[in-house]
Amino acid sequence: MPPVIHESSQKRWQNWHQSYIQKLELLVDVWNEDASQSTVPGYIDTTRGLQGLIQRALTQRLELRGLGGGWSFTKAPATSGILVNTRPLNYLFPAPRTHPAHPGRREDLLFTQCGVSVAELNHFLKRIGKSLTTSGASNGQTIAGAIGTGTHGSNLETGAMQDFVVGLHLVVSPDRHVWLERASAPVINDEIPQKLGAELVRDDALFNAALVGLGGFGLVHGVLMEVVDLYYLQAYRRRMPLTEELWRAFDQLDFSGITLPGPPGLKPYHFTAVINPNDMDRGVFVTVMYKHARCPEGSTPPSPGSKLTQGDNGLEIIGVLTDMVSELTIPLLSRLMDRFYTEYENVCGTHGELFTDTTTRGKAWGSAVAVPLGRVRETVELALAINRAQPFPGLFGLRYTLPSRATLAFTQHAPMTCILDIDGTASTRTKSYNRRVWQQLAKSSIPHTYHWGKFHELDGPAVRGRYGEAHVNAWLEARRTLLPTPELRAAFANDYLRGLGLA
Amino acid sequence: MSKRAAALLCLGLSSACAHYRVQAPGAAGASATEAQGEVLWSLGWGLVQERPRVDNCQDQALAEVTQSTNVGFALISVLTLGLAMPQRVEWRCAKAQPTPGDLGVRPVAPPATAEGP
Ligand SMILES: Cc1cc2nc3c(=O)[nH]c(=O)nc-3n(C[C@H](O)[C@H](O)[C@H](O)COP(=O)(O)OP(=O)(O)OC[C@H]3O[C@@H](n4cnc5c(N)ncnc54)[C@H](O)[C@@H]3O)c2cc1C
Repeated sequence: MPPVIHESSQKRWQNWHQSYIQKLELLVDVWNEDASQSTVPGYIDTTRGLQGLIQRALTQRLELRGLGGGWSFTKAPATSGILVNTRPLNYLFPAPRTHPAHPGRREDLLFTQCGVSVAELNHFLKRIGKSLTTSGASNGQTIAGAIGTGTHGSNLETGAMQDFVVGLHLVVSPDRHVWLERASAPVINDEIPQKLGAELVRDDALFNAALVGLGGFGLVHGVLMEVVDLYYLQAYRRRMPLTEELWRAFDQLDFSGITLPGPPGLKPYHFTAVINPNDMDRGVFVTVMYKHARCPEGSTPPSPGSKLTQGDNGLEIIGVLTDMVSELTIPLLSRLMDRFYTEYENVCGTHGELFTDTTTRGKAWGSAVAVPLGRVRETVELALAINRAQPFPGLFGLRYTLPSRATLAFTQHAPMTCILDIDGTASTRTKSYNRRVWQQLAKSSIPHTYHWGKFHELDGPAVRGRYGEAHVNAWLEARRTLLPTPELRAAFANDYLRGLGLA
Repeated sequence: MSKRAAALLCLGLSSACAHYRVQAPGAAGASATEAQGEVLWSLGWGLVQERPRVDNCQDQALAEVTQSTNVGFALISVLTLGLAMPQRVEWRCAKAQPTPGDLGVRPVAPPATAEGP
């Protein structure tokens, strides 16, 4: 039975944080015909339904774009043509059969439809004794949307979310859909793509490019991911003076000069900092989490009802605060931080319990710039100097991940990428502050890249300069291979990609 | 305009653009669909009340309902002394919770050896 494609009468669409309104031809919600049970025939029928939408776009010469949670601040998910809301597509298929060469266990694999949200993944995985290795600080993204821009957390042992993905089912034209994975690391048993009617393509370059595909590689229908046994995080947040030793921890992840909160001798699994640039005399907030097979005795569970939760970062803080007061001033931000973003000790829960729901919409505005380890202090000091000249009511966040293998991942800096989040209210002051930081960074020698889902002002030459000619060319080449006709490439382009020189 | 009418108008306008959102807590508040909306009329001081036609949720619950008014709606309400009161209602459907499936190519379990008489 074909999927249910509900056509909305609305001709305008707004993203989650209401940072823009996009006029469009058609917005559709796509539901599996039987939404209550994950079945292979249902999945295959939905693939056909998605192909029908591509056909319609081609016939009517319209663009077509997959929509996830709509959480991107940028126009990555926007289109003037057909916007395909994939959130209702949330079938789950645990433990698929693996390729004989795959060294891992099939229990550590999960195949899902594109619209499964991070929250749903966390809940489902906990039920089967499993967990994601990482995610962003909150959980409203869909799996396809999250990897589409390279969503990251701050886990010192893994990369960003796309880095636990090992297979993609891409619907690329009205008569072709492919199962893509790395030739160097085949994972799925050949029978599965066959059964789904998908063409099996094992190719490292194509896979790495499509991982952070910005919606430009067709519709992602299914995602195969590697998960791990359920683990628990013992979490601490403390306000610490920004000493030379703490700077060294931020810059090099060298913790030797400081005493981190928590049990001595354990290596942090998660490490972040939140800095209020206008209130640094009282120190900066450091959050550390340690990984355990079960919660240590004496720890307390996270409190799910509170406004801000243990894993929240700058953006969530600003989102919560701007839901309460629409205009944040510098003194008000400090006072509200004192009240809502507090220190805590020895709280323990699963990954999904600590990086949990954000339902605030607020008037938050976020940008994120990634730099290599060793250039972190320089970057933060540059941002602080600009704030001293023209202070803005906002927060800096520091998060870390291993470099990604995805061709256009913005978390690409080796040996480790640090992401400086700059979050504030959606005000002219925040925007002009950020613009100054971007201009100064462009003049500096610091290698840096910007989050595709958060605000930036990149254009074609800047993308080539920042992400590297070779990466951009490889990404475009892979896109040409998977979408071989100009019509298909035009259908899966949008203003955002064109502006970046990636269409 | 009489003082009384002006006061009424001010009262109406002060509530203009009000926006209320009711959202299911936690993950249940994460919606499957984009917002769908209708303008609903309450006529005859509430004697006739329109109901939204929610036909896009595929038997799933609602994740979020938003009710809003604007200057125009407030003016209509004030000018008709409450006889006609429009408001905009928007909703988003909740996600389904499908049971997990089997990709269908699990290795065939060896047939149980029949032991018995
Ligand atoms: C409150 C909040 C917190 C955030 N926290 C973090 C964080 O901690 N870390 C971080 O890195 N980022 C964070 N972000 C940014 C966010 O994670 C990214 O922008 C992410 O891409 C959004 O995912 P989404 O599901 O909303 O996708 P969308 O914004 O809907 O789409 C993102 C891209 O994916 C494409 N896409 C979506 N679904 C499909 C599909 N089925 N097929 C093809 N293409 C598709 C879209 O076309 C678009 O190009 C946050 C954003 C918000 C609003």
